Amino acid sequence: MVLKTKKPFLETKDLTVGFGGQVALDGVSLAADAGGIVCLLGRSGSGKTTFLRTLNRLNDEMGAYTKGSVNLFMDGRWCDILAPRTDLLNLRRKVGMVFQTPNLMPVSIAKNILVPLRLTSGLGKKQCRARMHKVLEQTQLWQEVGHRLDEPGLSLSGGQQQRLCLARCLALEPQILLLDEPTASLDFKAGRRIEELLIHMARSYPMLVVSHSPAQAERLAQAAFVFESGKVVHKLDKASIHRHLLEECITGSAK
Amino acid sequence: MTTTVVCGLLGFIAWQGGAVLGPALFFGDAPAWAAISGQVPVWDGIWPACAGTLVLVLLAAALALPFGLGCGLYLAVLAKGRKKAFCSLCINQLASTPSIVMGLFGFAMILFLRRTFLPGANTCLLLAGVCLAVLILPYIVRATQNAVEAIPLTQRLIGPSLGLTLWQNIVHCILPQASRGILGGVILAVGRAAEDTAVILLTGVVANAGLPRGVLGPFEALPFTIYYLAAEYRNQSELEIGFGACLVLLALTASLFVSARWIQRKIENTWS
Ligand SMILES: Nc1ncnc2c1ncn2[C@@H]1O[C@H](COP(=O)(O)OP(=O)(O)O)[C@@H](O)[C@H]1O
Ligand SMILES: [Mg+2]
Repeated sequence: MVLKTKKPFLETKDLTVGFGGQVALDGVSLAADAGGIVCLLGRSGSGKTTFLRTLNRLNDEMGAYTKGSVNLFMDGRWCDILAPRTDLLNLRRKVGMVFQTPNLMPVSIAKNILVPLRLTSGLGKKQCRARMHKVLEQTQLWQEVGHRLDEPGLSLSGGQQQRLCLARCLALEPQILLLDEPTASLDFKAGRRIEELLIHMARSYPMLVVSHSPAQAERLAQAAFVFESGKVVHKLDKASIHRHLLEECITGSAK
Repeated sequence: MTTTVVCGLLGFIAWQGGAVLGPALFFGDAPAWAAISGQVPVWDGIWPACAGTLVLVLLAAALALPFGLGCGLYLAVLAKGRKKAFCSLCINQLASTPSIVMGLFGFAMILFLRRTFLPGANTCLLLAGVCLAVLILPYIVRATQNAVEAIPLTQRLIGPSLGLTLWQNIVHCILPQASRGILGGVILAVGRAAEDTAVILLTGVVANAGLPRGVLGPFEALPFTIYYLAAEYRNQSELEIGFGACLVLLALTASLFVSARWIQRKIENTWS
């Protein structure tokens, strides 16, 4: 499947999220298009992770309150995911998320993919294994780990673990992917490898990637949003990311 | 430092009680196989007490585990705000209740039952098991709650982020990751149940009751035997039997710990 470019898949209006008294997102309104990676930039604590977690309602698990509206384009129509009757389980299967640090279960490589797949899909053993093969190929892991699927997932390198996390969520056949600083815990080379993979996969999935580095955003993104203190302060396209990066360098060094 | 103290204690008990270890300690004059199967009563051995303690501890653990796990998970995963504070207060209160009070509670309950619904009720293995279960419940609740709350946030979000239901998340993600910490609590609880004398004293232990015949009958228990022998020994050899019983109690709890660890490893490894 190849996505048509410039087809919107995400729209938020006046999105406000708070944890107790603390406001993490303050009136965020934005729209994003599929067909290329959309990056979220901003300092640590500016609300990028919170924004991602709004899109699969994971903030609900942490006692946050959410106001405003969030619409995602899934199954060929717009879904208001903050509506009270939203099926959270279904939403979270369709909106896959990869975290800042790899979060595998302390079991074998195969089970890390097979157990959630079996629990959520109800597929048979054979189909599950076929799906596992497919997603390991997609994440370029099959070559590396295909012959030792029964070894513990935690014995893999950081980059491989992160790709296994990606494979685990691809196995559930999501329609939108969220990645929260996927390269933050990795060395340069492993990070580059993931970046290439993401660029490749952005052809088939609408994708939001949080990044702490404008340089990375320049390599990856078709468009970017800059967060600051819970607000979106810039919307950048391919051309203006570069300009913004330069300005950041200049004003950053002037301060 | 701790190691020295522990080794010293173990060494002392082994030195005092090691000599009497042997079939005679367990079965007295009775033939071993007949005694184990309960065909021949054992008069001056500690075998009935061993069996009594084993059954009692397993019964108490079996009663306390489901409630303790459930309550701990509720506190860690679901409860919020004032409900959580209230439940925590109750658990703390329970944890600080002395065991003799728990025994008295069981005794009072039997008195009440005798006067109202069940005139034939008597102190028994089941009653002691229930009271011991209440005694060890807070250990398991606290251990479960702490172990679950100690899971790092991103590890805790694995289940929800993949769209697992609450139940799937608990069984397949939370419990395997918390099992090590829960095991710690279970070991504490089992040790506590195995050594407690005050509760069983008031709820059904009887010297020379023989092997436990069912959950509604009297029973013997190792800590009671030790207490009884230490308090009322008539000669040196009886005291030595007391120390022998100490050693056996230690071995019994140790083997319970090993089996608990084995079960935990199974749970951790399967994630199924
Ligand atoms: N679980 C939470 N509880 C309380 N406050 C939180 C929680 N998660 C995030 N926050 C707050 O929300 C704000 C935004 O955090 P976050 O979205 O993690 O920022 P970023 O990902 O951009 O570094 C921060 O001020 C943080 O303190
Ligand atoms: Mg973050």
